[in-house]
Amino acid sequence: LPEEIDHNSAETITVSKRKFLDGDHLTLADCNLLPKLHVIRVAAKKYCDFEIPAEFTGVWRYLENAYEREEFKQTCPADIEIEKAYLGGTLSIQLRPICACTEKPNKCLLSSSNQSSSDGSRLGCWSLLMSEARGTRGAPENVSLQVSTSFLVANMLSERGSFMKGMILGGVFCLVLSLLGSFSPITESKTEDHHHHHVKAASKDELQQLSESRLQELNNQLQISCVIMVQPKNLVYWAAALDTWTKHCDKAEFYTSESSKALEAIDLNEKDDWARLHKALKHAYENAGDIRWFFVAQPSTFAIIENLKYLVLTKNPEQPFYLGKTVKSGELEYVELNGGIVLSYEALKRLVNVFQDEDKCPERQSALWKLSEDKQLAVCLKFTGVFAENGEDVHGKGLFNSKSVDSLISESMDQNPNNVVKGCCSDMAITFSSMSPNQMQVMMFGVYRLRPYGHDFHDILTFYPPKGSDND
Amino acid sequence: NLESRTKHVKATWGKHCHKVLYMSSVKTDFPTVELNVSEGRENLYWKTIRALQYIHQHHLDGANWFLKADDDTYVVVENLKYILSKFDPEKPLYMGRRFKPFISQGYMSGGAGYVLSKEALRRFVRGFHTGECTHFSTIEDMALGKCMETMKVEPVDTRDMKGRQTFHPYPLDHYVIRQQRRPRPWHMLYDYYTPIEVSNTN
Repeated sequence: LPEEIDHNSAETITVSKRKFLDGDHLTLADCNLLPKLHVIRVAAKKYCDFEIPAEFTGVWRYLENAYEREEFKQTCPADIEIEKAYLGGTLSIQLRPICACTEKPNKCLLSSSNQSSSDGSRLGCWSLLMSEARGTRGAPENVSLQVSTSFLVANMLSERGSFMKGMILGGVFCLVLSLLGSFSPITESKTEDHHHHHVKAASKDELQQLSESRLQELNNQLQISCVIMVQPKNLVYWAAALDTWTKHCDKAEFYTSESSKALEAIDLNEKDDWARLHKALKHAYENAGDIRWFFVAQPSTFAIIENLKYLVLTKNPEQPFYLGKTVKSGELEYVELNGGIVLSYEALKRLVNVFQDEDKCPERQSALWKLSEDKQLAVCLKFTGVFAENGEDVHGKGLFNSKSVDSLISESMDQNPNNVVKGCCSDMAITFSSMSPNQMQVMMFGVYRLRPYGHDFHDILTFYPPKGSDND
Repeated sequence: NLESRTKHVKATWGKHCHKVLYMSSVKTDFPTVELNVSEGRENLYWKTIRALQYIHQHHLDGANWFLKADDDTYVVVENLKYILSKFDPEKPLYMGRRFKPFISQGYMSGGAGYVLSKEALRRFVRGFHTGECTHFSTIEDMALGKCMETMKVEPVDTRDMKGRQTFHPYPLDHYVIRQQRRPRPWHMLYDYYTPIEVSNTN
């Protein structure tokens, strides 16, 4: 390339020094071309008595560089397989090289490091002989099956350790793909006004741009209705939640599976987790009053409502928001219940509407295919065009945690040993989960009472306790 | 305990002190001061005596107040400074969680950490020099309290305006968690100022 030549010295360079098409490392371009070249070498030689001319030194050098790479050499089907596949003539079978990547589908970069770690970033790059689906006629997929399994077996016989795991994984993946006959990227679902996958809190600059009166207006209108799903078997947690963080909600309603003599709650008389959540959300919506934001939690969740208010302060509840700690399960992205679920009024409204559609959102799941209630919620919301979004602070750190403070700190001690406290969690964290009742009491002390004298946080707003609440 | 504990003190609240010294009985890679003592609880008072003598000799001018804490103590240094700001370091003063037994003017709990003013440190070292203070017991906090009494160092009431304690010899959950009715634990019976246990979050 001209640029390449310029970089080098004054002497005229006419030959590329690169090993592969785009540098010294294999890229997607090579994944596309190399298998074809290899097949031409084998099949054309067998059936057309054609060999790639020796004077095509660049092509040979390129092929030789490729044969030096284990990931190419080991994944090429045996010559006999290639010959067999082309036996019926080149018209009925077409070669479609596929690079299966276990991590980033649009990059097929192979690391040449000596690390034998079996992290997902080691990718396999190979070709599969795939049949083009010809109408409804049964495509000769058995060929690709044959080819794939043969080299899978060949791979297993070779020595490569963890690299093999990546290869086998990718092989199975490609196998499934070829059987399904389609290899199209995941289609983007219909978007709404604000289709991101994460929602961030407003930055200080953004807040400062709002007028004093506008800020006050937002503050006055901002109210959270807490929906806490309890059960008598978790009585101690229930009591702790009642005594601690739920006092900071503008409205806190406890929904139980069955009534308890010790504590008061709305008795839904329902053992099934999803049916209970379904009923609780419906009830919360019908009794919302002026409140436009809903927070769903379990008693083992600890929440800092003020930080939740900060996250949604500048967000419009007439837009559908479904926030929390998002997790992907196959194609479904959902918010984990134990990290807390935030729903705007619009999202809840749409949900209550789709509740009427027993096909899309049944009140009772079939016994055969039971999803956890947080996944089921995501499915129902998806039908209404509402998607899960990860709640983050201005720096992109997650605000909703499905683990307790000490396990997050322990993890941070392993991962950022030089910056344990800062690296652990967001300063504006909203939730922690799996906290014991004692730990919740300690948290209340730590978050709301204990403070270092002389430190000023310079917060732009002041959140006062809800009227009539027992919190100071 | 250097790896498991002291490292974490250094990474967290230690940074908020003007100067931190880690006192050890042995020489280590971690920046510690090696004292000429043996390890073990029976030698704790010796370790303290040697540590204070070392500080008096090398660091007296480096600070006004001297906090002794264990490697399992957590200190909110800003709040300590806030309390100390009201007192004169040239006066013989000594702060901590005041216990009443054994010493008539009381003594400060070792577990909760205690603070000596500059003058108090001078008097402590002088006491050992003249023989007014001796290693008469291995119970470090009580014995130090006796020396303080002998050398006329005054214990200070460090409770806040609502009468709440600021030094605690046990972790948070011992104090913050609502407890069932139970006989008072030993450390509350020892308290010089009668503890009040309240049942609401105030």
